[in-house]
Amino acid sequence: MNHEIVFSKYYGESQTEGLDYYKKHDYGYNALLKAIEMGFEKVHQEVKDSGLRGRGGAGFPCGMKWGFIPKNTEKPIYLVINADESEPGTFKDRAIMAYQPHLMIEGAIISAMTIKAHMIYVYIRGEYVKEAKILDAAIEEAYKAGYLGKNVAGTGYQLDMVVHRGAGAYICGEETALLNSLEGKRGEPRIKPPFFPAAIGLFSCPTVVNNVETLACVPMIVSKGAEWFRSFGPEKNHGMKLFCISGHVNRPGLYERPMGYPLMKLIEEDCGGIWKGRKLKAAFPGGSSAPVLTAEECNVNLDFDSLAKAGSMLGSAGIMVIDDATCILKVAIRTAHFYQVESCGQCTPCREGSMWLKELHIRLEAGEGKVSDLDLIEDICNNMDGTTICAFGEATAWPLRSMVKKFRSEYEQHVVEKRCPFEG
Amino acid sequence: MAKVVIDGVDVEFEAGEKIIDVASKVNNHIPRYCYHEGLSIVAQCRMCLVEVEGQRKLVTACSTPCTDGMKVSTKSEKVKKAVSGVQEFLLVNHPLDCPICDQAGECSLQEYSYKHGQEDARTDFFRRTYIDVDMGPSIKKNMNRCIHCTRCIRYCDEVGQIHEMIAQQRGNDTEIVTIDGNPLQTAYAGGLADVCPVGSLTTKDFRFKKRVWYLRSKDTICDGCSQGCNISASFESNLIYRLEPRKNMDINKWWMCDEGRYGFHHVHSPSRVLGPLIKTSDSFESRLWGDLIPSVSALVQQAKNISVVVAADATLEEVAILKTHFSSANFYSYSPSVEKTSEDKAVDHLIRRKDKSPNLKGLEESGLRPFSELKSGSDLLIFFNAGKVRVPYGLAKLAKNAIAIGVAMKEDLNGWNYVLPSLSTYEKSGTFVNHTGMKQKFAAAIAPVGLSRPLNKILEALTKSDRKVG
Repeated sequence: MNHEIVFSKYYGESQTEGLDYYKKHDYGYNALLKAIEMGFEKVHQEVKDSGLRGRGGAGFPCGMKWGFIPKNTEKPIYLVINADESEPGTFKDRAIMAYQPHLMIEGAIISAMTIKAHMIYVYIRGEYVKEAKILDAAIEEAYKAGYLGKNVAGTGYQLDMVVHRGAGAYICGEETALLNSLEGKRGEPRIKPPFFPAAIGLFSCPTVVNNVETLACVPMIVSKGAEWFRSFGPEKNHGMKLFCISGHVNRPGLYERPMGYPLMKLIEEDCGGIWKGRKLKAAFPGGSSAPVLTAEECNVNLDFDSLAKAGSMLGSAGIMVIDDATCILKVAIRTAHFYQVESCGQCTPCREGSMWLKELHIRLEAGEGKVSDLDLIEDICNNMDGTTICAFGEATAWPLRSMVKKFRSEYEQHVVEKRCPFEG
Repeated sequence: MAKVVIDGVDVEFEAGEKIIDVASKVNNHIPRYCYHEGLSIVAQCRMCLVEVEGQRKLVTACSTPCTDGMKVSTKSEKVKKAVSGVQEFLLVNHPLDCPICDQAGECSLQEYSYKHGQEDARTDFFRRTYIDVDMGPSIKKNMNRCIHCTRCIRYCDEVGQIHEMIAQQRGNDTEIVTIDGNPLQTAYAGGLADVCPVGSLTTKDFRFKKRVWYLRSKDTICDGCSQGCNISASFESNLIYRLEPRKNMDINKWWMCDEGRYGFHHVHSPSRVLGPLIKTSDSFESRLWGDLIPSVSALVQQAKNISVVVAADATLEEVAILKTHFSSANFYSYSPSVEKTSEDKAVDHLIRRKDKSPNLKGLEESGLRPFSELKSGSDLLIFFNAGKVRVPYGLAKLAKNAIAIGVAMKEDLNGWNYVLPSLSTYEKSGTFVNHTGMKQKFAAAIAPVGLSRPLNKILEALTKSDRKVG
């Protein structure tokens, strides 16, 4: 498997966030200069050819997304960077912003010039205080060095970049809720149609919303070519990828591996296996929104298509590993609680269903549930699945439904024994 | 013309029309809470989910525009399941206090529960509760019943055009409030009770007054200003309980102002004079019509010159009757707020007009002179009104004798020789001409109150030998 460390060369070291360090150890805005030389139509083609898929969760082809911006529009075009990384178990964008902010900024500049945007907004998660400061400082450096401002790298192109901090809502990671929040409105997802960001996005203007990691891939594609990028990972799932592993492994953390890397290999070899000599019980491969995988199902490759085939999703690549001493109902309660407090409250199924699910799980875990509650959970999840404005309904329904389906005997045990079997 | 197939029925549509409206053209009512024709679309209640052939997910009929050849199913198994699911979700936290809720009987939640809901409840958890909140003079809020459709928020923003209601908190804790708990400023607050599909926002005026299934309603025209809003009056046992707007895209669209909405209380006011009165030396005495008519008739016949002041809440028909009966009299129109229609103007962005009478335009067109031209000293002054325009103070003193026909309040009697009770707008039929010159005919909603009689019957009795008022 072709393998090359492209992101995490100096993660964990101190003072890597400056422009000088970036020039010495990384692309140093040479990719931008090369992109200007190439011409941005060619850059767009190169990104399309690379097969780069969005790293935010949905895996939508990046080049195609850029292509949705209407040609010859009179309205301003915006590039919005989704740095509202709030998916439980995910911390990849945080590392990029903390250790190599200029990589993201360079990628953003190239992308903005490709889609002819003159304004870049970075919507960063409110809790990322340190990262926001680092980004602010890096953007200032880029302005001083002439990569941002009235005359980008001597081309006469005007481009500005602003960091906007979120106020602590998970839902603002949904791109249209993010745009609402950026406009100063309530962070509620918009209905599509008509509000497709490429046509009616930020301030009703054409907008591209890209994830931090997606944009960080752009300088390397420009600099080393689409062919190089395609050399990593299986067909339609290319590139190197940052995987975040948390939970019950010996060495949790951020691992850079090519797309299509086997999950078991990552857990057993790279992370040193399950902690305390226990056995693997389950894993969420793509944050808490992804349907859970049982230990047997974990023999799967980490890429968009393989995981979709296995009935789950790569999502934001936040892998959460659960050992066999853990009560799956406790995991479900934690998940249900998260979605209950983070639902924006717009759509009926999500607003009411998330709270109902949480109550049912708490009751079951306490040994006060009924067997019929298990079918009820499944049915509530079915009624939430596909009936809401955004994917939040599914993000709640999928993991909870998968847990009750795949660990039904454990749920039933709670009902029969009228207690949690994992508690002494 | 482009066509869409809804449940196997071909329906024509115009570009941009949404499925929900196109379906209603063929009487296919798609259930809805957040959708209201007059408000922006948010598609968040998820009740109008329908299946469109070729689309993986269900779509909301309120937000999805029709395309040529689109095949829509509103009754497929998938749709039924989803809609009954949404209905169930809405009831998870709804208090089901229908027996004490004013909305019961005209509640979308009840209606759709019967049509799309499930027979039994699967939830047995505590429901979220709030205390009732006063939202100003017009509206009381019961947040427990709220289904978060946000129609009220959009109503304030888009119709009242004051941003004063918001959703606060998030998710299951979302509460619909006025900003900082301030009382509503809008002059259209009563409309919140109309747009609220459940019993969350109710008008204080109607709250706890009547179960709606006892009410009948008749279409009529608001007599509160020169706009002539189309309304319906709900009544029971000849008592009006409330007024509600009727859709008329040329005049008031779906709305009406609070002034108009609550402007019917003079009809059943305890102060209203409900029987003929005659002035005695120190006060007024009630008489039966038959006892009073001869002396009134004599007074009219003796008068050499008569001035007739017609309040601008009289109908065109009544003006014609008066002009026929008092053919030699001088006629003047009277509106309390403006002298002539040329002084009339809009007082806000939506409906309300400066002229607080419904038919000044009609009176002018009938050739009545402005009130300012009235001179004192005539033998007899006859004033006619319908109660919305009150009997002006001191008017009776402008003539030797004065007769008031219409709806008078006991505190307005000073100076009149006779007070002959006639009908308010809701008790009669007739025609008003609004400020744009649009003629609107309306029919009586309720029967005459008390001993009040129609104008034509009173005038006929003055000339008849038997002195009876029919």
